[in-house]
Amino acid sequence: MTADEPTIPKPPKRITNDDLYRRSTQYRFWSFTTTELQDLRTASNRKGIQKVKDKISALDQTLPEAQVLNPENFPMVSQEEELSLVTFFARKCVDLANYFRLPAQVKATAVSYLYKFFLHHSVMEFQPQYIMYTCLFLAAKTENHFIGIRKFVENIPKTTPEQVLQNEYLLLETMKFSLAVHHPYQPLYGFYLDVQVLLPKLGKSQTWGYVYDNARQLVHESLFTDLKFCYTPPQIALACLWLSKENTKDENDHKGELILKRYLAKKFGVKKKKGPPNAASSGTGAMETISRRRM
Amino acid sequence: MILMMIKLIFDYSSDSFQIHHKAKTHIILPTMSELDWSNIPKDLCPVCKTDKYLSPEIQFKINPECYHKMCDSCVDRLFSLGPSECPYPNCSKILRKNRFKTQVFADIEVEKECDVRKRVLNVYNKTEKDLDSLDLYNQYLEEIEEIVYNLTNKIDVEATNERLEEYSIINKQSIQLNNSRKDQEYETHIKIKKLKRQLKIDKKRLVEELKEAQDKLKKEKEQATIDQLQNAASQNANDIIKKVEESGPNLEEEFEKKISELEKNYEIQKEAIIKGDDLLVKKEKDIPAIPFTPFNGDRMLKLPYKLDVDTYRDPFYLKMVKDVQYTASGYKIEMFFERSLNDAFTGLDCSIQEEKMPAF
Amino acid sequence: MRLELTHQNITPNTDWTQTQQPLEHSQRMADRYSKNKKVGEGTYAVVYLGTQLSTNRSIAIKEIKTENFKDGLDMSAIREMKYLQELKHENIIELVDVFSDDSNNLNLVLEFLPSDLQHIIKDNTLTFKLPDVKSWTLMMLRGLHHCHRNGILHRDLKPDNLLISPNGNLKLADFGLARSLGTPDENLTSNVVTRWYRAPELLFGSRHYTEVVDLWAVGVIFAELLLRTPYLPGKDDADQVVVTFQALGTPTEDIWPGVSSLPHYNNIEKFPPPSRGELRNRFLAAPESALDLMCGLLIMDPNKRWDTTKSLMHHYFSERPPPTSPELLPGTKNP
Repeated sequence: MTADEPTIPKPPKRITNDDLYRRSTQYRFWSFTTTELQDLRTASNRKGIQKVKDKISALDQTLPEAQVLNPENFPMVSQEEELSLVTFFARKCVDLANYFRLPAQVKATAVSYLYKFFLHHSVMEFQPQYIMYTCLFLAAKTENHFIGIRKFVENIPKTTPEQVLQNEYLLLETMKFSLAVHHPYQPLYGFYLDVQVLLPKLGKSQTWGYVYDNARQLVHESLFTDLKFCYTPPQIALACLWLSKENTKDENDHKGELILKRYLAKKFGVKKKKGPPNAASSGTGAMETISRRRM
Repeated sequence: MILMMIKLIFDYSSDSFQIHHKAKTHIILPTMSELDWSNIPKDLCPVCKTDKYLSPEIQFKINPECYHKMCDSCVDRLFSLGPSECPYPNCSKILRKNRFKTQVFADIEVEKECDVRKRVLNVYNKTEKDLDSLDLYNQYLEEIEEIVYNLTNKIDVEATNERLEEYSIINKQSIQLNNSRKDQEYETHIKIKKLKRQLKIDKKRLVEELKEAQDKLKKEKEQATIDQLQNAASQNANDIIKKVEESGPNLEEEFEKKISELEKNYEIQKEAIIKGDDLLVKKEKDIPAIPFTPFNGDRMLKLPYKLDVDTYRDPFYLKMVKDVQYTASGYKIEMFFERSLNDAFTGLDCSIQEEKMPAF
Repeated sequence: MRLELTHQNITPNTDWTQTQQPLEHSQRMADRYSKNKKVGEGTYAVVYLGTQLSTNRSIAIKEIKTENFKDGLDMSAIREMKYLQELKHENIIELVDVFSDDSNNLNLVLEFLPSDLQHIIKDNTLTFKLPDVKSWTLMMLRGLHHCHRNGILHRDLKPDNLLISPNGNLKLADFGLARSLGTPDENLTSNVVTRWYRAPELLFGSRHYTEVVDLWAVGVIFAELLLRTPYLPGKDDADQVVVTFQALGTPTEDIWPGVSSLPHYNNIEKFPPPSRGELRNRFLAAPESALDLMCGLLIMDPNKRWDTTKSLMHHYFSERPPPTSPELLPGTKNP
């Protein structure tokens, strides 16, 4: 695919759904190339390192720590470690959300907020654990499942309302005040329906039902990857369907891929080079590497 | 004998005295049956018997069906709920509230004739230009008068009405044309009147402005004269006064110019109105080159999916939304399906890695 | 045959796909705007008139009061922020920016809209003609269509929340009660929409309503534009039920299957629905097609009530007289 299109695509003659997506904050503020993503993380890591150095240098010289700690060889958190930490707390976030019986949408949004926050800040500046609480609290509010602060902290040991609320403003600011997040769940359901129309016999079968359910699990997994920054929700949904199986225990089960190949061929024609098939496969590729890393 | 005559005179006079007295003490209000229906007093409503004394703002209406008059409140009371019979005795015509109108002419016969004439002229609406010769025109007018006379004096009413009907059907087209031409003429007349009025207002304003300007100029000249006289010691006072007098704008000339321009404009616009293009109404935009669409281009017509509600199988949601709480609330599962399908194709073709590449 | 319209028709001067300058650090933000004059105060925000210093554009700054809400940032502020960031449309108020000032107060920068439909309706010096009513309704429906196709319910439509720009454009504002629709298993609250504009399913306490509640409000506002006075003014929640059904007839199982099972449905007086003649008498100025539209928007059963697409496609909008151009509408401050 050549980049013969300009960076910002020229609007077509009639409004299309893709244009509508391009108006969303997710596209405008939170979609990056992999290099951009990398740069952002490097920058925040550096910022974090600098902060630690400053803090050490500012220590009262009379304290014993001041003698021991040296800013130059202080073990800083590396970029990879940062990412692991964030992912760790993201998973904890999902557990906590399950405790509150919050639906998938809230969980996904909270995790998304967490990752976004740590694109611009380092774990060395802010404790991810408390930021995670704030993310969940805010996500519950924005996704119409408001939990009062009292009830919220009652269920989290050793936490006060102030600890959760004090970061709320900072979180909003870091996210550039864009609160709406588009997840792959609804597109996934959409494809679930569309296959039933385009491939009638297969669509009605139990197989497809299982493939959908397992794909949904994969979407849960995708939340902890960088896919949400690099691809659009329908592309991720297709990738999950591609990778999905009917029987998860079976290594050689590639039902998802088979069904999807037929669906895509019917829908867009096999010949088409641009567009969804490619996006899905590149998305798939990314997914595969990342998910393999997880497991 | 004289005594007897005197007694007779007395008796007679006392009798008449008694009768007179009787008449004075009984003020009899005429009831429906006692009222003389062919000679109703002017300010009395024969239906409710209210008169101008009791109700000074009383107003009367007549209905062209039977031309029987009654007051506004009676009309309201009797006909607001729908058509009903005329309350006058022996008049059983069905009257409708919206046909009542105020009497224009004092003589009811004149009123009747005018109404008839109006009705006939709506059908027979040719002008002199439409007929080829004066004779034909006179014949035409004669025909009109005959019909009006017949209808007004209730001669051959049925036959005449039929004649009218026939004529209107045959000449339907030309009648319509003539009518619309008349309407247009009336409109033009109104517009010209408006224009004239505007001209008058503008002229008046100019006159006022002129006066103001003249006053102002006079003051300025006076001031200038005084200043100059003070400063120029050696020059001749009269010369100075003359010079100042001649300087300054010639207001009268300018005024004349402006007036003539206004009048010229008026003539131009009047011509335009008569011709038919309306220069006055600048606000009416031209018919847009692009036809009106309610969405203004703002929706996708060709959807990338086909919504086939009956095919979809969903073990969970389909059952849930059958509950009456959903159905009574207008919840439509197809909306949810549609949203999901929409989301599935929103952003599908956006290639972020390409699009977010910084431009070089 | 569909005519291909250029994008210019939609938003002639705004290219929404242009990546907005991402919000930089807040402190610099506060220097980009100046607060000039306080113009209003609500329960959760104070509104100022201001200027965008770089373009000298008039803006409104809504400063959110952060102290009152003990659970952190107020829900109305969250909703406004969330939805206005996503909804960019000619007939929806534009959220220009969000920033914080020194005291860590949240400020929403909105485009400045000097007037609203409420003021215009109440202004005795203005006369409405039928093309004007058509134009306002058209703009209302277009803005609403954009919300609904993004799955967002406004839930507070009323003349006060329909703001008018200096060149006459009508814009939906105040998304403090808005909500996006999600999965069918959600329970929504029925205590939404200002009373006079509340749809019957809300009056009956439904928890699974849809976007047509907004269209009922449009119908009531349409009636108000024709009458120049509120159409269904109830004194309180109980009275609202009476007023609504007195005017439009009490719904029964025949015309609205399932209505009697809704939570707050109880023995209400059974008023008969008005005949078309009675409506004509009430709305003397309205042509038949306008009455058609109004009746469609005010259908009791939400299953049958018209949605934005059906309303916009109705021939009322495409037949003569055409809707007035926004600059020429009464109440427009300057063309």
